Amino acid sequence: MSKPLSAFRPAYVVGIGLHPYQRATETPYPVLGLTAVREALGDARIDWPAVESVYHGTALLGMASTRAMLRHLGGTGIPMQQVENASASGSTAFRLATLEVATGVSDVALSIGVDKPAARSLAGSQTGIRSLESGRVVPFTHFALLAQRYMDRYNATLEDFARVAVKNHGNGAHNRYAQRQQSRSLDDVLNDPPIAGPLTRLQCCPVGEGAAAVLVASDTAIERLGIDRKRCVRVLSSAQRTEVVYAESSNFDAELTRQTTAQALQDAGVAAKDLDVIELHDAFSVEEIFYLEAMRVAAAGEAPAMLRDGAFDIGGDVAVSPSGGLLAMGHPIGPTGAGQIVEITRQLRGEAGLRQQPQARLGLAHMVGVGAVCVVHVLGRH
Amino acid sequence: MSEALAHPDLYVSSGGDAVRLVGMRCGRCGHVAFPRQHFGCEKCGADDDELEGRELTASGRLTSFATVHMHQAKTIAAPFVIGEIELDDGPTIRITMVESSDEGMRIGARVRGALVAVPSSGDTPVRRELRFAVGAP
Repeated sequence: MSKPLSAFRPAYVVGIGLHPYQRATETPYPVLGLTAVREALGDARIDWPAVESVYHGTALLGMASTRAMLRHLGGTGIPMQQVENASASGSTAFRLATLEVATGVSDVALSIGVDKPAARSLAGSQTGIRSLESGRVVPFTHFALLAQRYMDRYNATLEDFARVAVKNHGNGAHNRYAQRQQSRSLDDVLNDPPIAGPLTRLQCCPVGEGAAAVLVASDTAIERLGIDRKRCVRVLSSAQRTEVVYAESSNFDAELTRQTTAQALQDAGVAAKDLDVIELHDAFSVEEIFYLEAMRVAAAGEAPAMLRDGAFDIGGDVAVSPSGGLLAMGHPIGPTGAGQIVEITRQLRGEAGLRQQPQARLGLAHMVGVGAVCVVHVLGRH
Repeated sequence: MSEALAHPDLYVSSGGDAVRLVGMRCGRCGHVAFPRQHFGCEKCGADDDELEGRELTASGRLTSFATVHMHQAKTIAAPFVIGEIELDDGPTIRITMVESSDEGMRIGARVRGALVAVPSSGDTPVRRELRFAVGAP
């Protein structure tokens, strides 16, 4: 019989590190990854030889990227592997590191995400099954279609979607790792160049380069290595699902989010209303509305009013995308899901500075990826 | 009217301007899908032996639309309008609309397929491509 994470021994996030997300530069990718890993090791106050296994979430670097980067920490011979799961690559790497520690295979595992922009075609375009739109429906158009339908169904306005971008850019302005660190007004967002349907440029995430690293450890390792328990954050649940045929076929990411989040919350033994912090896949502004409703943080059609009333601000009922989210912190693909865990950990430790959600005890990280896949983790303060 | 169809694996001419979509039906679970494929039913997993081709009527109801203002591919000129359409025969499709503006377009409107001549480009001759337009068949 299958078991939830809670059936195994506890696994904790013990160290976090980032390389800032930024526009593509000439910086070689090992510099990005090593910066994040060294920061995570320093954060946990452990040395590289303590790490027993590596899962590297990357979608764009190409074959055999991990040891070419991590050999510069000094070869220890540990298993290393690349994990590709589209936008959820970093989330999936973190899940695998967590499962490896929880099941006792390792006491310390590293999950990392590193990517640089590169033009790669999706395997889905090579299945031999063609489409009517012949490449004309890219992700922003997919979400523009969903946004238009949401406006029609719930009498939502352009301002309702734009407010997501205003909030998340405001959060990103206080995050030195964010690709966009400039606050934007409602007028800035609405008057920005139109991309598709209701979406303007500032309602679409920037895809740049960066890295995120998360160290996962067991109680045994925490004791043996003398890691500060007060700064450890427990992984309460890990859920991952893929798309099936839904009655409501167009917004498959929302249906997938509904199921995966419900499983993650149930496995963690908590309810959506208990969450203090959420990092979700806001690649496009409208997604934050869809997923908050799919997660039952808001009732159907009510997320825009709650957003307007400040419920999702830092200091509100639940801080949503306090890092700036994909919209402001950025979406370098491989790192993004691991970077969400970094932010949740910072929040639950009470170390998020100007972005701190008061008394944050429970956080949720959510990514969807082309395919479609969905990964949700619930983390709790120890 | 004799120009070749741009995607004969996706739609067929049924005389003059009339057009039908090349879809499929699963003989095991009844799932109707577009386009036709031979890999297996994504709902129940039945293999090709149980999948049958089924032509679908090129008419339906507009469930959403979006004007695309920019596109990365140099071969695709923006702006254009994409429609999301629930076909009368079941599946939902997304396709370029004949209309060049979404002004006055509304969700719920009846829409129908139309073959539109697309100009030649490079080595590709003039072809007829399926688009959808607002209006009853």
